[in-house]
Amino acid sequence: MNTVCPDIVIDSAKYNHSLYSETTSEEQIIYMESGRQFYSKLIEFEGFYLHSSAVAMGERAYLFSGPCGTGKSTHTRLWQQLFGEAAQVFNDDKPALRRREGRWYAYGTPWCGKDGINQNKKVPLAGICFLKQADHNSIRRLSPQEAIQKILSQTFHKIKSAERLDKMLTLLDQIVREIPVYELENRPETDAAKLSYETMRRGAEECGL
Amino acid sequence: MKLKKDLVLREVAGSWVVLPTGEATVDFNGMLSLNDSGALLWRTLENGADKQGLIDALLAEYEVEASLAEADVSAFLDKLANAGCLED
Repeated sequence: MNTVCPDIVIDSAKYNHSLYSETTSEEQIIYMESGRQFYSKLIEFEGFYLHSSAVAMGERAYLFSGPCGTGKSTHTRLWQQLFGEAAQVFNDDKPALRRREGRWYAYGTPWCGKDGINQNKKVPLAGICFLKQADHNSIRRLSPQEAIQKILSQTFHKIKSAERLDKMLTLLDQIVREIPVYELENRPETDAAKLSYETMRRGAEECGL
Repeated sequence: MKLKKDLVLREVAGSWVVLPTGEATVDFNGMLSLNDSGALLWRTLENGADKQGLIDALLAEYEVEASLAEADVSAFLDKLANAGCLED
């Protein structure tokens, strides 16, 4: 008989309710706590989450990241408007990123946001873009230092275990060296989506991603 | 002068960052970026040093005027104090 042994087990008995205000629903607590446990463990499997909206164009995944309210979902919806079925949003909150055999992949996960936009798929990562609201559209490549700071701000950066922190920093070092990271100042309009797509597609091609 | 416990300095993609671990995760927010001389000063401080010790470390490594080294060390210590890296 074959017994499947899961790599990561989520223990609801360990959900820490005290971290949340009284107005937080039980459902939200379960969502946040289960995610916390999963993603903490994932670091040991060469992976971490990025608070972002993930869109796949064929075999390339592009992640749009930033704090809540910067327009991540709005931007990927603009890609869908522009490209139709060719643009598939496969996670709208916390896709997982994992480095396997020297390549980075983005994964759909159950932690996909309140609209439940989610596909169980694994797509090679081609680029990450941080969004900033502005009255114009312009995009630039971030320096490694800027990229590190931005990525950390949208994933775990308070890691209690020194060993896990070290592992996380190794992953961060790798991703910043291997994946182009941008900042897009933008208005919520299709021109911004055209600009991000053209720039990131070119960047991916140049990097062989 | 002492650094708070559980602050980790590491090189990531060619630049130096300081992040909290263990107990330091409670109070320390965000991440600190250091350049090469900042990282040198941090490492010197990790081994225990006073202000003069830090100035000496800079002078040993870089060809710089003593007054500039002193100014750099003061700025560095201010940065660390503001970020909550130093023991009271």
